[in-house]
Amino acid sequence: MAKYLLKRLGTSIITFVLVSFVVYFLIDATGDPARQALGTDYTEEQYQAKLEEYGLDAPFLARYGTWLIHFVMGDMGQSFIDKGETGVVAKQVISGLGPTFALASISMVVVLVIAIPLGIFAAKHKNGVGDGAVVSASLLGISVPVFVLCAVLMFIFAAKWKVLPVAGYRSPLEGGAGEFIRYMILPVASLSVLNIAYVTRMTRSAMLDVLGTDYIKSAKAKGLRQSKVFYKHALKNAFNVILTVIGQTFASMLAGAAVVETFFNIPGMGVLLIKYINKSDYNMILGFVMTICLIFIVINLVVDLLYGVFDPRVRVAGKAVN
Amino acid sequence: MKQEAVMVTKGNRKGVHLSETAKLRLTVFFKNKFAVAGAILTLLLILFAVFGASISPNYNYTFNPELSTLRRSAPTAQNWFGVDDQSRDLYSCCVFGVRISLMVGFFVSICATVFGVILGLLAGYFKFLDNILMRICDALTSIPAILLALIFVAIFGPGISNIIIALTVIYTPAIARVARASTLSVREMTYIEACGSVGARWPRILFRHILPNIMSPIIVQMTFIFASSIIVEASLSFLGVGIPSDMPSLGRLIYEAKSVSIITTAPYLTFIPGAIMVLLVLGINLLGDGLRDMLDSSSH
Repeated sequence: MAKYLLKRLGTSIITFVLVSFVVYFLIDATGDPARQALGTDYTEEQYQAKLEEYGLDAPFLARYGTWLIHFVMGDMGQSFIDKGETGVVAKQVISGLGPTFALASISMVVVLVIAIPLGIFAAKHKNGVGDGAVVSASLLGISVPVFVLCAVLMFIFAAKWKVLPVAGYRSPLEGGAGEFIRYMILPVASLSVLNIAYVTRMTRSAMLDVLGTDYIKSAKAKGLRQSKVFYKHALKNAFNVILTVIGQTFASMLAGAAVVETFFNIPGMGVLLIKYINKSDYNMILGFVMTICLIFIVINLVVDLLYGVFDPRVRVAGKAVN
Repeated sequence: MKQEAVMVTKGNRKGVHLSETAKLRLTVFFKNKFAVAGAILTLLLILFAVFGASISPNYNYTFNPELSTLRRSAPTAQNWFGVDDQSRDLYSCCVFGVRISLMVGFFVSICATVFGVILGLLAGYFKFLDNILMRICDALTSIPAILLALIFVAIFGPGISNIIIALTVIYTPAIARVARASTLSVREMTYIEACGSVGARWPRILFRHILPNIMSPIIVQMTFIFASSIIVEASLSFLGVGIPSDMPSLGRLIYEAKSVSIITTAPYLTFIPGAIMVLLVLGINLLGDGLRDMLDSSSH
């Protein structure tokens, strides 16, 4: 296990360095903050002075190295546009992370609590009515964009019935848990409904795959109780596939969160990143994009390590066995 | 001699056999109600995009000062879908929006297929390329499409061509994977060995002999890419970093009509573009499912 852990950790670090290099290079090549700050009318001396002021006169690799070391230490630099406290990149990133993680993780819990039992149920009653409903719902699920669902939910619950607040975000630390939950219900529902359909369908097919294997047949043949076969032998082995799906779903939720945040005016990562894209604030964009990439690398790492925890074959062979 | 051998292999593949398969495929397709519904839905929306402008009494998707008194008004005989918050005829905007969606879907699915097929064929045929190409594909597919597109736009800036490029990069791995998997199984077949032994070079084997035989799964994948690139474009436009705001794309129309006051007083401004969006994507997805079932059935 220790060897497996080290190997995976090593790959993740290499991935992070590669991704950060590509992103830094591309942002550096496409943007010119000094020119942006000076406007249209400036002399070559002014331009050089500005480059020096921003620390952009150093060679590319030197700048990248400094930036990477600072990033790892948690210092993402200062915006070239916003001065003072609002321009500290790390502060903005952290302020965005809170709402986005709250939204995505609450939705994730909702999805897991509903979808996994539902998927197991559908697999148990294969070809039944519920099974058909799950399959059709997931087709609808991949066809309805998140923002259309947001509009429908907002129309019904906030505009027509007026039972829930229309939009906004209340931090649980300031407004208390009650307010926080009231403002979170619609965003969480918008984000989770479609993913419930997807996770249910994947859980169902993972269970059906395992139920068709020989060792399940022999477990049944030797007379084990149905429930024991189902929950102990089948579910445990289907769990690896379900784990992959959970990882993917969490990742896609973080992405979908950008849309939901925009719809419900939640000041999360997505909303802030878009704000800085529109302002062409390169250091901010760099900080946000790299944080998002880091989150994805960590999610992939955690999922891979959990494979090792749940499946002894992975620990020995060093990779997932399918 | 070389020419003859090629003719024989070709003759075996297309001959009487194909018309039988084609008949079977069509029967399977038309028996599937969902697939037919999807095909009709897609066709209707294509007609809407093509002829929608000419059947309207006043096609104009830009700001129209004459309509400023009618802002947010309900559908009428003049303005079939109503007038939006910016004094534009919503019907015209929707026609234009469907055109943008179809255009993005079309270009992305074609470009992703061309690049994906080339990469997939190479990866499937040459072992030394396989590992490198597939690891790159893994890396690209591990990040959700919307987020990857957002990162692209953050780096290269918004705009319709940047979106098409970004989506092409994002969806090329999906095609490459399918093409690679099919190539791996087809390359082991006897007729490919025969081609090799009569002296055909690898480009000819890949593009003349392997490619036609792996097209079915690729076509199915194309329809799904078509549908999902429409959703991602709409999401980016909704986020305000997609198509420029003077071009009414469906996502942008929904973004502009997302405020509470519009949803309360003039919900049709939000829900008409929303419904068109859902119908378009649903139609293409149903069509894709139908094509998959059709091609599956004939291969067994």
